[in-house]
Amino acid sequence: MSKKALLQVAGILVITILAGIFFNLSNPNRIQFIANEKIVNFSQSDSLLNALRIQDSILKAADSLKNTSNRREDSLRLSHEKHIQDSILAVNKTDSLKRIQDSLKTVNQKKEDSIKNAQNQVTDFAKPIDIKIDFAKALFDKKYRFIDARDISDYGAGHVQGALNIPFHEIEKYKDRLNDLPKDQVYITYCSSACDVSIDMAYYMAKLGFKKVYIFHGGWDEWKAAGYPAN
Amino acid sequence: MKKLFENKYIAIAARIVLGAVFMYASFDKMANPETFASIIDNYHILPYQLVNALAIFLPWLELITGLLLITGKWVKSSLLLYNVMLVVFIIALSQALIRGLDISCGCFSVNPSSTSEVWLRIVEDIILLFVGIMLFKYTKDEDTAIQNSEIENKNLINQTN
Repeated sequence: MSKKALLQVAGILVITILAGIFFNLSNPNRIQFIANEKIVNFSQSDSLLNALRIQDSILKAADSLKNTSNRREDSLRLSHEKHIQDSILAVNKTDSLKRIQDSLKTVNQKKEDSIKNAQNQVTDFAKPIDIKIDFAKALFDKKYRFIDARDISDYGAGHVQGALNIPFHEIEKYKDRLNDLPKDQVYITYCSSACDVSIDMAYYMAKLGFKKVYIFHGGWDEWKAAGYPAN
Repeated sequence: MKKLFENKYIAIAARIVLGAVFMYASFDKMANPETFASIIDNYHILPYQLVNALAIFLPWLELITGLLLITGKWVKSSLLLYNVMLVVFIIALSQALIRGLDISCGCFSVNPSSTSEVWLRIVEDIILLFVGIMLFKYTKDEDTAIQNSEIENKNLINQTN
């Protein structure tokens, strides 16, 4: 290897650097020369879990309230009928019944609004959120859909129970499976553990308009190690 | 093997094939630097500070070395860079295969749906590296070639005299 050839190598490298710099600066798809550090901001699982628990308790409370109000309405109706028969007390009782029914309706409406608010606090977002296994399990228990972004062979070897396989490496081929899914539902993407296809898949889904996508970083390896439901 | 790669026409054909492969591989990466950076990052072998820089410069290095090989200029030096790049690619792909990383190769296309058969890409790179090494070994330096032709001319002149 002559000295001249080594100088040529240096020349090629210099030309490469200059061409790269100028092309990147003039490229509409330009990127930063030094990338920003990728920081995985895991969602505050505790607060999200608490929110889910609150949501559950509100739903239960709303159910019991509805049952109570139904029972009360029935009893009120019965008493109302009785009171209609009783000509002396009928007018007064009807007024009080109406007032009670109106107040019950208002309470029910308020409860429904608070449930909707709680649901929105838990699930309304556009950017995918990074989650850990505890929250992934909580979402699994709530029957939300898991999406396995690994290849078919890996999925076949084992996957989260009920997970839908959409291999990200062949996304064009399996795009229809994504299009069939309702976009306002909650989804959790995962792959193995030392992988990024779950992240790629989540952001791809977000770009398609899916608004509630979580990324389960622990992936299949962590799920399996925890002994959670699997196929 | 020596005879094969010292054959002028075979050497030119091999250089054109090697050059064309690298030039073709560079276009999609240049057009989509962000996606290519993400693919490099997925290999988990470089610190994040270097990922974007490599995504910007690597396609240009491929293009320039490919162009030099096809045009026959600075052949020895471009072959050296070519072979070094192939060794790096083979190491990167092999470690991904061994670690079981679920990645897109990013070899010829930055499309995530491009083939994920990493071992096939390793075999391709090994073949290219073999040809590259043979060409490097049996290609004469431009200086040496000039010196040789000058000596031959002198000999011819002496013989004629």
